Amino acid sequence: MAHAYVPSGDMIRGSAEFFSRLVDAKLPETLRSPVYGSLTVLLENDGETVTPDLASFDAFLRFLRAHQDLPGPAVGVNANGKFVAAWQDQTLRYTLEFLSAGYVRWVRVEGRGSRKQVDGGLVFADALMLPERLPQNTPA
Amino acid sequence: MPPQHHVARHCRKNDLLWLGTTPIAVLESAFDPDGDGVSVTWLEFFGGDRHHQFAEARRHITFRITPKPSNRLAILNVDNVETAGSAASIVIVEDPIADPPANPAHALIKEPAALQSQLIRAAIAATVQASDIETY
Repeated sequence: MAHAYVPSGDMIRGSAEFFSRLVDAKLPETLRSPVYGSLTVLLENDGETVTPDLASFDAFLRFLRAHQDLPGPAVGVNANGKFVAAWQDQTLRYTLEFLSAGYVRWVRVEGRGSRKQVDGGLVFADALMLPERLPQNTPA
Repeated sequence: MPPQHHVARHCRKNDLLWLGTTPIAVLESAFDPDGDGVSVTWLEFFGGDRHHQFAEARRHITFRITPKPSNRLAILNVDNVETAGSAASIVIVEDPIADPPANPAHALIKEPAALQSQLIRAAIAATVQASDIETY
């Protein structure tokens, strides 16, 4: 089962800017809280931290401000420093990677077993069409 | 490898998707191939119950890797992975490491060329739920 992690509190240089921008985004608590928690992990200085891309984070926050009714996202930073938001349950996984110049790479995995369908694309964020349903992320 | 069996994949914090401070899924990039495929450790190789299998898997993985406190193990079912990657003929094969430090339960998700596809990696990542993510 998934176990929560307790970050050390030792953050990488420049981490304050990410937290500041999250506050300035004035998101509802359902969105702010999971993002804040993920930042405490992803910005922790533990010797293998990938420095996140601030422009990618800004794009992520713009997306959340434009879609404030969404369930709280799971958040990652990939090897390129780009923020990835995800919503996943047993039948649907939907991820968004926030790239440069306003583009978003989306990937959707839906269905079960051999009937699983996978598709994806690269679109300008304003042109993104979300699925009718996004899963409610849960810790277990 | 028997379809009902399981393998464990070492995940750093940047391989994981975090709901607050709890990892609940894995990024597709957790399955980026390195060389011959994606390294995993076969749990049922060690026999015994799941507790014993986890303990042995951790012991062998940590011969080569010193995990950080934020690192996790993603547990994948062989059949789920091979079904998810069936369009690209993804398979999990035994690949024991004999050279010290040995890992006789080492296995590979293959083929690396097929794993270059983000969509294939995403389909594999989707087989990992929050309940499949274990601590070290």
